[in-house]
Amino acid sequence: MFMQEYYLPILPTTVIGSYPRPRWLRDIIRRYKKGQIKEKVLKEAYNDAVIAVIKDHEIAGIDIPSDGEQRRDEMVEYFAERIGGFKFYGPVRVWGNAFFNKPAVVDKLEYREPIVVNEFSFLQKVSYSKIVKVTITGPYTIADWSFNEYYSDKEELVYALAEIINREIKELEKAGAKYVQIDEPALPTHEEEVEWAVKAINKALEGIKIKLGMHICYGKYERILPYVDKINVSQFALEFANRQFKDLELLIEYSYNKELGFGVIDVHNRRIESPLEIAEAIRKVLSILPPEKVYINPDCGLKLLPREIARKKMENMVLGTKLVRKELVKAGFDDMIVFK
Amino acid sequence: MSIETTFYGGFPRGKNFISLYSKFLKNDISREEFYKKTEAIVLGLIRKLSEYDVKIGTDGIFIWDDIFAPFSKALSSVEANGLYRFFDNNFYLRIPVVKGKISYEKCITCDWYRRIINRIKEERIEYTLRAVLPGYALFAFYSDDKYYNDKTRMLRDYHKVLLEEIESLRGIGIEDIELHDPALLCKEIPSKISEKSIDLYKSLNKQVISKVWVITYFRYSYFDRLESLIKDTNFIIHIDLVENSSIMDNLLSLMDGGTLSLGIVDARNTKLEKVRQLKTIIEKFREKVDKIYIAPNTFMEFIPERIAYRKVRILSNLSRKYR
Repeated sequence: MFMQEYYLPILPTTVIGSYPRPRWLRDIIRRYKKGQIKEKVLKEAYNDAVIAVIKDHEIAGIDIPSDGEQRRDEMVEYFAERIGGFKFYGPVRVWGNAFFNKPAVVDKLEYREPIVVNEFSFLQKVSYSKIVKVTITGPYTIADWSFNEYYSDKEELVYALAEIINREIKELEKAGAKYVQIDEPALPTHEEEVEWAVKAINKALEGIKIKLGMHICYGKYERILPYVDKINVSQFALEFANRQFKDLELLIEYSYNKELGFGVIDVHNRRIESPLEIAEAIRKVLSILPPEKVYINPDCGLKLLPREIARKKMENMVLGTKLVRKELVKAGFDDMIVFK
Repeated sequence: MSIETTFYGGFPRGKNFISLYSKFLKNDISREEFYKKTEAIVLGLIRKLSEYDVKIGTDGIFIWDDIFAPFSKALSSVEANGLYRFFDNNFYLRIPVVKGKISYEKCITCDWYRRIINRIKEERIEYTLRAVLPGYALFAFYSDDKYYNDKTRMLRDYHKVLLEEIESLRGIGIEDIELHDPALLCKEIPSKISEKSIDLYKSLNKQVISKVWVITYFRYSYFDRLESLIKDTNFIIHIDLVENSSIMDNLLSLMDGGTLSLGIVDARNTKLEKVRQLKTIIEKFREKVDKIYIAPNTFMEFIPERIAYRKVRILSNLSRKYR
């Protein structure tokens, strides 16, 4: 079968997933929750918001955009609302004044219907780029960020979720998605669980032929780096700016050799990094990994930032990347890489 | 044996407070208006808890962002920076970055606590307010030391700061202090730090008049350190029996009177405990201690507000069985 090849600039720029919702969308959601507007209007607003986000990504010069997860209030909550067996008791704090509706598993989990396939189809239709990123919260993180009142233990719960996520990725693949990122920020949390969690996550990735990445952040990387070769994804997108790039040494220590989505933007700090700062950070990672294996992205989703700041941070990320691209081309590297 | 219900640290924030705080952060309301409305919310919490016979506890630490802030603002040369995971939870805090010698500047929380104490008095609620502070090992564990190059040296200065803060709080009428120290017994803590922390707790025991509660939680790896705290201080030690049920026999063999706080309901899961099951735990301690405080195993911000109230009610129903 002929597989079409896609090319990207060297050091492709991308996002992790979420992006601030436009103020008007927040207002419409609020009014919808009060019963003041119809679902049809809300759906149209979501679509319009995705178009706005895509435009922001395009202006910034992002090579692989996402839909900014505009339809999702929160990364676990969104999936739990659409999988049978969950119940919500109310919000739980994550940090500062950020909360999420932590779900509770109260019954046997059940895949009802495709969860994010429609999101992907719309994104692809309105995107300026042939390659878009679709994010899916991984089975381990959904389990870790839920209360378990039903399954005998967490491992059993993660395997049940892995089956569901596997079905969803297969649906995405069928719909034409080329790049799915599994978000597993919880993976490094419990050292003693990583061994079986990796096996369960691989169950969720079984039989998938499209490009798979994994995003992990705000955890101890030394707990997952020994397992990266065992996880069936080609790229890990990791947060580094928040930790002042200190853990880059761990990549050497653990002989990291997969593609890296390199986090160069601190998403919990409103200070806008300069292009020079970003270029400097990229040069650091290039002393460890060949440029063909490096993608450039923010540390994590941008949604908690004001939109103006998020956009400016993305723009500078691209400008900083372009500075290094020029240096690479001068040094004899191809200016394009094959997306695989 | 007497038995009383309590809780430690943060109480889950309700939707009213979340929206109020959000307005404050956006500068839509003044600090004074924020404090005034928060005061009413805190009073509502305390009133409701006292209906469940909770006569001692915190203010829910609604004005705290995390266990370090705003207290760390009372320390010179300390700034809040990177966001770090709080142990194995999907809960994050800004770590203190120590850029110079730590010293005490002023009590940041005293004004707030004074307001709450006054309102409790005005409303004639029978409630003893405990103030919350980070314990030694916790401070060392999460701080990013850019000055001392030796966290045990840093802890010596932190000790002086704690003494001054405890004294300031006593000055406004707070006699009960809870020092949260989940790091003290955890696997990852370097022994040098935990040993120093234990030494400093022993010194603190000799130096303060206030009633100190050391709040330990999550999985323990070092029972001997817990033993030392129980034996060598007069502090009330809170023990997480949800995560550490295996230490029960050792703990029982250690006790000969005194007061203990037992964390017996799981503040990290929504599944509700049965009173009769909890009673079997309490029965074991009946002949071993003079007084037991029963509490959730850790602070309750990991569960939704309505579940937190249900869990407190379960504890309260349990304590009523011993009247």
